[in-house]
Amino acid sequence: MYAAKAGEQEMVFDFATGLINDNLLFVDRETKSIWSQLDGKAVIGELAGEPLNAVPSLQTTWGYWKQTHPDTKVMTVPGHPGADYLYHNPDVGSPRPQFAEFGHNPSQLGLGVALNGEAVFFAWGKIRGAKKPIEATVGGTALRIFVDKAGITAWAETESGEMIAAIMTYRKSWLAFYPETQTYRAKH
Amino acid sequence: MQPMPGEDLALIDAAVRQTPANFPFLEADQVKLRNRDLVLGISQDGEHWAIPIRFLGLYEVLNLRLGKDPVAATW
Repeated sequence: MYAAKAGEQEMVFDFATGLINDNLLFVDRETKSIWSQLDGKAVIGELAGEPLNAVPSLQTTWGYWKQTHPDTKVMTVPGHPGADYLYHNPDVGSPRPQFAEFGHNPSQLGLGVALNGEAVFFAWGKIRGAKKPIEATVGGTALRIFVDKAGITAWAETESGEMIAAIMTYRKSWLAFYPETQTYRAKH
Repeated sequence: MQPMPGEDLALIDAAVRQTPANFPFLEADQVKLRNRDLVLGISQDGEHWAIPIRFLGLYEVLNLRLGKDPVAATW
């Protein structure tokens, strides 16, 4: 999720077919610059090198989100059911999911945090069992990593409780943009 | 750019799919989502919005105005 502004100029984005580092691209209507989806930077065009400001957001299950925010508004596309994308969550429900319940394998998921020039990948397999927030320092900033196993989600907050922009993504995708990333270890 | 995942970089004409605008937002009890459906949730100034991934996947990028500022939701 990004603030749709370059400087003070509001931008409108469209999907550009084609990829960079196996990652999606989008193009702004104002300058026709092409932006990479994972790190929010323009890669080609008038604004090449410019970053968009990432806005904190949470990728999670509908069950977790509506329980946490029952007054939420929900976007819809009238007349269109959308396309299924589910994670197979071995921690919820019966150990062997029904065939119809099978989803994408989340074993390579993790929370990617990039702050002040340092990148850390908190692998889902390492953090999903956390009973309390994980304390970590990224880019010199003390953070707490919160996890909800049933919601297949994690997020990062500063010590003052402010949520920062981080992304639940597959390890390979994160490494493509942050090859120097560190992987969270319990003592990190 | 790469035409497909894992392919080498190549000079390609990347077709652009224009993203529709003005998607409606409903109350939680007005939508039919399963608990396991994924959403992208955002909270600003005491308000909360959920963008179902099943719709984000259709368009890859959505232009939304959730609070006072425009946002681009991607996934």
